Amino acid sequence: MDAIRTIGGSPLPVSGVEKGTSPQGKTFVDTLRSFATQVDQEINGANRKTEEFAVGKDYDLHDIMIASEKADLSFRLLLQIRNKLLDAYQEIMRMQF
Amino acid sequence: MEGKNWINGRLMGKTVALLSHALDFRSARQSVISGNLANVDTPGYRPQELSFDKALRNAVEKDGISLSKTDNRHFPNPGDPTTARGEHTLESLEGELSESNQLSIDREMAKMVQNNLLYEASAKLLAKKFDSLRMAIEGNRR
Amino acid sequence: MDLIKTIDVAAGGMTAQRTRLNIISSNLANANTTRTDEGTPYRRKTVIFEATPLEETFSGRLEKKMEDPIQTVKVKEIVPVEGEFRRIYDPSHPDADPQGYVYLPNVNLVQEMVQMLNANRSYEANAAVIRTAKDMALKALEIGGR
Repeated sequence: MDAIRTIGGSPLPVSGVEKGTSPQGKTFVDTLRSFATQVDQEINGANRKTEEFAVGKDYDLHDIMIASEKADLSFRLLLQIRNKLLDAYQEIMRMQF
Repeated sequence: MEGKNWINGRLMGKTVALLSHALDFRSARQSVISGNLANVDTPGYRPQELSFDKALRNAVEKDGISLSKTDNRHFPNPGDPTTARGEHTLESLEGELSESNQLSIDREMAKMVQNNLLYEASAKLLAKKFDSLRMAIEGNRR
Repeated sequence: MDLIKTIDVAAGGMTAQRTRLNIISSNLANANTTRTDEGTPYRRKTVIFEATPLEETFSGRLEKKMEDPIQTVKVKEIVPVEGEFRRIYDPSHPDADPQGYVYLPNVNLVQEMVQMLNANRSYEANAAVIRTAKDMALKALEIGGR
């Protein structure tokens, strides 16, 4: 989960959101965590393929390119989600009552 | 354990899986054509052809989301000499021995041009798909 | 990787066809050689091609190579072609036999020219394979965009 940790030091402040659940009983945090885990796997997979290519194991060029691109895009999506959550949090914090 | 497949299923979708697989197939087919052209003057050599596995085609039509690269390892016969990658059928063409070498060259070259075009088209389409995903994710950079 | 394998296979094809062209060239050059070192007229040669598995060239260590049905080609052997020598009657020729006949190589110029054109065409076809494989690989590199 190293790649994910570099997004931001503090854990996501979503405690208030935990109350709602999906029909399957999953909370937003569960969903996000699940996605983040998959992104991590995707990145590790892409890294592994690149390393194998570098050391001369059998590879498929298009396969490496696709894996890298998928990892990159899903990571960017995760990053955007995190940014928006952070923005929402800050907006809420800014509200004066 | 994790429920939905967020990346290969929701984010990338069937398109990426299909195009990715098309690239696998086309590059494998290119090496088959290469073998045929190298051996065009070899006595007794039977030209080979790679054909899209019908079972795979059915699987794709039913549930394209399961078609990710890692699934290839689960297909049967990885060591079977008659299958390339285990999911496509590699067959020797029957009745081709009597064909003249010149016709063989013509036929294989035509196949190669077609194969090349479809490979490059798949690569380009994939690049465009990734591009549009990137735009959707990042939109106007902040 | 498939495309690298493709290039190896085609390279084998080019080498084999080049050997074939060399032999054809030798046949043409010696079309009228009435006496070789062995004392006989030049005997036409031909190449025998054989399909062969890829060796460990630039492809690196491919684990599944033994089961790989893709084969390249190599020259199995260069053999003299059986057949009667042509003979003409020319008693004044230095290589004429006691009856006045001179034996000429079993080389047919037209046949050799056709062989040469075919060998060249096959050679070019293999060269086209390498160009195509390269183009495909370069296109794959563009998948990442930017």
